[in-house]
Amino acid sequence: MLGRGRWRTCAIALLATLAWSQCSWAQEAPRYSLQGFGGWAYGKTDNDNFFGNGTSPEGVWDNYYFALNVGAKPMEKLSIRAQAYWGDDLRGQRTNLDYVFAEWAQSGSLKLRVGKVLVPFGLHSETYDVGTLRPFYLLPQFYAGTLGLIPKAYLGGGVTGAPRLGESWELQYDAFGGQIEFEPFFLDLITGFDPATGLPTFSRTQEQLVGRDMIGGRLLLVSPERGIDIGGSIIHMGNVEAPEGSPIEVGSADFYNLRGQYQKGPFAARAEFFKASSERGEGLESFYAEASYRFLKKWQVAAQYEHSEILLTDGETSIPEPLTRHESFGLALNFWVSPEFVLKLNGYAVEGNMLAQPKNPGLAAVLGTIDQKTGVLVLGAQFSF
Amino acid sequence: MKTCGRTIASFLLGAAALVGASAHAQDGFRVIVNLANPVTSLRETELSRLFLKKTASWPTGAPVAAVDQERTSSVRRAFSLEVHSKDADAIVAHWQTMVFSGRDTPPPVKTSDASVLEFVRVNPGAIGYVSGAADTAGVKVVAIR
Repeated sequence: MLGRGRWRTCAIALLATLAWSQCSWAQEAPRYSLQGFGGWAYGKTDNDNFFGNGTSPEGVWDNYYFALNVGAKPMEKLSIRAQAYWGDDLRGQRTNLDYVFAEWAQSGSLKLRVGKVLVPFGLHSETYDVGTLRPFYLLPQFYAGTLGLIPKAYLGGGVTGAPRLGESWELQYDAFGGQIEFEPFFLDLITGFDPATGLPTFSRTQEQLVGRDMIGGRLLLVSPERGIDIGGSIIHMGNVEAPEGSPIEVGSADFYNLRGQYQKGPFAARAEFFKASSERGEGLESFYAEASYRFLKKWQVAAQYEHSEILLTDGETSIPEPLTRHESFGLALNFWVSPEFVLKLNGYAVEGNMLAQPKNPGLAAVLGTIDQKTGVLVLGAQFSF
Repeated sequence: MKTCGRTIASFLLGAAALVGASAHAQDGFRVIVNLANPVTSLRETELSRLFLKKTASWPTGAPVAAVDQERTSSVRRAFSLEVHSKDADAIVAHWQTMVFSGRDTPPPVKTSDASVLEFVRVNPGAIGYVSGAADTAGVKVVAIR
C-alpha cells in the first residue's frame, strides 16, 4: 500500500509528465485536459453548535477549497486521470490526492481502471466538492465525512461501462475491488465516571478507518433524454480496521445506496438512501430528498429534507441519544452567474446532535444542556472551469 | 442629394444585413463530417451519442472526433436543444460530472464556424456543426433524420 506521501509524489510526477506531454503532442484533438473547481463560504450557527465542518457559533470565514483535475490520453484507448485538492475549514488545512488512475477503454461498454479511483456509490460520490453540480453549498451530511463512514476512494481495480438498452436507455455498471481509506473523523466516547461528581468522562479521538478485502458494484438505469437516473450500489468489506489503540471494532461491514434523480429543464429532484452496517450490528442509516427549480434564467430555489440515525446494538450506551440522530430541513436561494459560477444563500433548521454539536458534545448531552435545535446559515460562491 | 442617397443605401444595406442575420438564425445549424466519411445521414439520438462521446467509433471503425462550439454561441444553443433536447448549460453540467468524476472529457471547443470547418476538413473521423449560413465547401453535410 502506498502512503499518502507517496501518492502525492506520484501526483506531482504525473503533473510533470503531463506538462511535458503537452509540449510534445500534435495540434489535433487535445490529448490532455486541465480543469478545476473550488469555493468559498461563510457559515454560522445560531447557538453553541458547530455544523458540517464549516459553520460555528462565531461564524467561520475560512471555508475555502480548490481542486485541479488533469487528464491525459497518451494512446487512443488509454487515459490517465488525477485530481488534487487543497482546502481549509474547521478541520484545518488539508491537501489530498482525490484520485489518480489509469483507464483502458476497450469500448464504451468495457473500461478497465486501476489506481486510486473514486468509489461509484451515491449521486455525489464522484463529484464531492463540485458545487456547480448541486443546489446546496454543503453536501447532504451523510456525504460530508463528519461520521467518517463515506467510502470516498478505493485503491485497486475495477471495470465500468454503459451499454445501450434500446433507443434512449443505457445501463451503467461498475464492479471494483481493493481497499478503501475512509475520511478521518472525531469520536466522543464515555470512558468512565468522575468519582467526585458522578458525571461521565469522555475522550475525543480522531479516527480513520480502512476497509480491506473490499468488493463492490453499482448498477444504474439512465435515460439522458428523459433526465432519469435510478439505481443502487453495494460494497462489502471483509475487515474494517481502526488504528492501533482505537476503541472501534468493526469487523466486516456492508454499505448500501439507493438513488433516483430526475432532471428536466429548470426542474430537478433527487433522493437517496444510504445504509452502513457492521457485523456487530452497529451502523448508520440516512435518507435525503431534494428538489430545485430554476427561474428567470439565473435564479434557483431548492428545498431539502435529510434524516440520519446511528444504529447501536441493544444495550449499547456509549453514545448519548441526542448524538445518534440528525434531521434537517434546508432552503436555498442561488444566483447562477453562469453554469460555472454560482452564488448561494442556504439555511438549515437542524434537529438532533449527530452532526450539529457543541465543543464537548458528550458531556453536554448527558447533562441535558445540549441544544438539540440548531439554525444554520451558509453564504458562499462555488465555481468550476 | 448625394448624402441622402448614401443614407438610403446605408439603411438598405443595414436592413439587408438584419434580414440576413434573421435568416441565418432560422437556418439553425448544419452537421458536417469529413469528405472521406461514408455516413450521409444520422438520427438525432445517434448524433447526441456521438457528441456526448458515448459512441466512440464510426461504422468503418474509425474513431469519432466530435467538436463543439462555444457554450454561448447561438449555433450551440440551437444544436443542444434540437439534438440533446437540453439547453447548452445542461450539457456543460453533464461534462462537469464526467470530467470531475474522472470518467471522460468533453469534445474540444472551437470558437467559430471557420475553426470547426477546418477541424473537420483535416480530421477523417471528425464531426461538427456550423451555422446554417456557413460555407460548407470541402466537408460533407449530413442529413438529420
